[in-house]
Amino acid sequence: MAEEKSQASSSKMLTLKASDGVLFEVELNIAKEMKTVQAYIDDCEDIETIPIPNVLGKHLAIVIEYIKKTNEEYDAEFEKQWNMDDLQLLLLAANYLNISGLQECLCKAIAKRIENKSPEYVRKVFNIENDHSPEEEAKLRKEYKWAFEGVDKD
Amino acid sequence: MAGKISSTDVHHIQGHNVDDMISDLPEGVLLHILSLLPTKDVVRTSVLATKWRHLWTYLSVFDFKIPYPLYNKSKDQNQNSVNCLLDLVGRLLRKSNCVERLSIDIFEIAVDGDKVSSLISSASKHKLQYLKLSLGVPNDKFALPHCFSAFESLNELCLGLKFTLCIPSDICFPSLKKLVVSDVTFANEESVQQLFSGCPVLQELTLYNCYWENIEQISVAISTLRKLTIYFDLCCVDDEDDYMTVMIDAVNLLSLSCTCHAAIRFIPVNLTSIVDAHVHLEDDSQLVPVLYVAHCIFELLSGLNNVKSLDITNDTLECLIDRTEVDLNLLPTFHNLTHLYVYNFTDESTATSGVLPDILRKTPKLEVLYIPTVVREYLDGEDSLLNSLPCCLKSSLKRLHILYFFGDEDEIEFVMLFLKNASFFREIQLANVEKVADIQDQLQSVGLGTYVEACCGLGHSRIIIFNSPSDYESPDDESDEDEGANSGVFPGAGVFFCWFCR
Repeated sequence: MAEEKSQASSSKMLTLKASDGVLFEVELNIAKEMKTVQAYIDDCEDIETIPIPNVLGKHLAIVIEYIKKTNEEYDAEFEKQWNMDDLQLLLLAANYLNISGLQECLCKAIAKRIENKSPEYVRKVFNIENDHSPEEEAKLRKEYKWAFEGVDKD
Repeated sequence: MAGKISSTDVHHIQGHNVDDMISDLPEGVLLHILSLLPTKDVVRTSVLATKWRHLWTYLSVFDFKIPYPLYNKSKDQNQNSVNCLLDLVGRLLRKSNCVERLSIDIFEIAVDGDKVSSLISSASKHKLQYLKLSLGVPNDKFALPHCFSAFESLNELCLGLKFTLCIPSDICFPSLKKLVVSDVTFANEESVQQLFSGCPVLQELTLYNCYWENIEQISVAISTLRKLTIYFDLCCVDDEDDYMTVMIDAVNLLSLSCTCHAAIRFIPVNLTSIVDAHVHLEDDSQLVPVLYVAHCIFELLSGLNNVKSLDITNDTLECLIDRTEVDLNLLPTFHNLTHLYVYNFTDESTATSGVLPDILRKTPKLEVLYIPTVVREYLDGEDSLLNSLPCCLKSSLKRLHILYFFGDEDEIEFVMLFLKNASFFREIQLANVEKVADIQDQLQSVGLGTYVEACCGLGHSRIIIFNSPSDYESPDDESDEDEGANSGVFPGAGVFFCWFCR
C-alpha cells in the first residue's frame, strides 16, 4: 500500500540483536513497547543495534510478533469506530498533546480512508471547498493525467 | 512529527464551522498523511483546492509507475501517457529540491532518451539517496549522462534501463554503495568496465538478466565490494558468442551468488575474505561440451575454497560427474567450510549427486550438512576406497538434514552408518517423511527409540534424532532453521532457498 515513509521519527527502524546473533529490524514504535529497550534508547540516542543478551532469536521473534499483532489489531478496531470528523479532531488533539503513537495511528487511518479515491470524494469527506476555476482544474488534470488513470469509482 | 498546533488554534478550529479541518492541520502533519499514500494519490491532491496545489511537491519519496500498458488504449495513447508522466516527473524535479528517493518504473515501451537524460540532470540538484529507473526497450540506444558525478548523496541505484547502454569513460558515482543493473544490454566491454571503475565505494553489486552481445570477458575488479549477485538467464546458449568469462577480483568480498548457465566461466581471483557463496550453474541445453562445463565449475569451486558456508545445487554438482575429465582430488581443501547445503533447483526430490563424496573429502571442518536424499554411494560397501567415509564425519560433523526420506532399507542403513561413525553428532533431521510411524518403529528396532521426535503438520512431517537428552530438551545455541530467513548462518541464497515446507 504505502511506499517507503518519510523521515517521521515514529517510522524509524531499529535493529535488535538476540543472544544467538539473530537480527530483527523493527519500527521504533514496536521497540519502545519493550521498556528495557526504551531505557537503552534513552541512554544512547543514536544507537541502531541494541543487544538483547538474555533472549534467543526464536523467542524474540515471537515477542515482536505479539507486539505487532496487538498494535495492529487494536489500531484496526480503534479506527473503525470513528467517523472522519472525529478522526480529524482526534488528530488535532493528539498533535497538540504530542502523542506520536496516536498521531501515527490516526494518520494511517485517514490515509487508508482516502486511498485511491477521487478528488471529489476526498473533498466531500474533508469538507474542502474547491476554489479552483474550472479552467485551472482542467489544466491540472491534464498535466497530471497519469495520476487520474484507474481511480476508484466512488 | 513536524508542526504542532497551539491550544488557541485548536479552540479556534473547533469553534469554527466544522468544515475543512484537514486543511488547517499543520503542514507537517498533512505531509505525513500524504507520505502514507501511493504517489498517484498524492499527485491527485493538487486539484483539491488552491491550498493543496503544491503541497505534494514537498514530499521526499516518490514512486512513479506505469507497470503495464492500458489495454483499452491504442499504442499511441499509451505512448502519450508515458511522455506525460516523464514530463510530470521533470516538472517535479525542477520545482522541488528535496526529493530523496525516486523511482520511475515504466513497462517496455520506447521512451525519448533526451527526456530521460534531462530528468537525470534535474535530479542531480537534489540530495537524492535512492534512484530507480526501469524503462526503455532493448533495441534503442542510450548513453548514460555524465551528471551522475554530481549525485553526491546517491547511495543506491537501480538501473533497469532496457536499452543498449553506452557508458562514457569518465562516469562516476562518488557515493554509490549499492548498484543493481537489470535487463541492460551493454554495448561493449569498455562500457562495462567504465561502469564498474566509476564506483569507488561500491559495496553491493547485482547483475540481473543482462545481455552481453559481443562481449567475451567482463571483469568485476572492485576492491570495496562485499556482496556480488549474478543472475543471468538460464536459457540455453546456442553458439560460441554466449561463452563468456567473468573475472571476479574482489579481495573484500564476503558474499557471492551465481545463478546462470554453466557455459559462463567464472575466474575468482584472491577471494580471501569470502564467507558465503551460492552456486547454481546448469546446462539444460546439452549443447555445451561437458568438459568445458566441468572445468568452469571446478575453477569456480577452487576459487571459493576460503568460504565458510556454501549453497550449491545438485545440478551444479552433476556437471562434475565425469571423473575421467576432471579429477576432483585436485580440488583445494575447504579449510573454513562449516556449512554445506546441497539442494535441487528444479525437481526437489532428485537424488543427491554421486559427486558429493568427492567434495566431502575436501571439507575437514564440516559441521552442518544438508542433502536432498541419502548418499547411496556410501553404502556401496565400506571397503570401496572411492566411497570411504569422509574424515569430517568423525572429526566435526554435528548436524545432518535429509530433505526427502522415504524410509526404505537403504536409507535406514545410511542413518545407522552415520550414527555409528559420527563422534560429534548432535542431530539428524529427516524431512518430508511420509510414513512417520513406520520409520519411528524401524529406528526403535535398531535401538534408537529414545531421542526421536516426530513433528507432523501441514502435510509434511519430519523426524529428528537427537544425540543426548540435553539436545532433545533445548536445541543448541545455533540458530534454528525456522529462523532461516533471519539467521546469519544461512547465506544469501535468497529466492532459491526453499528448504522447509511446513
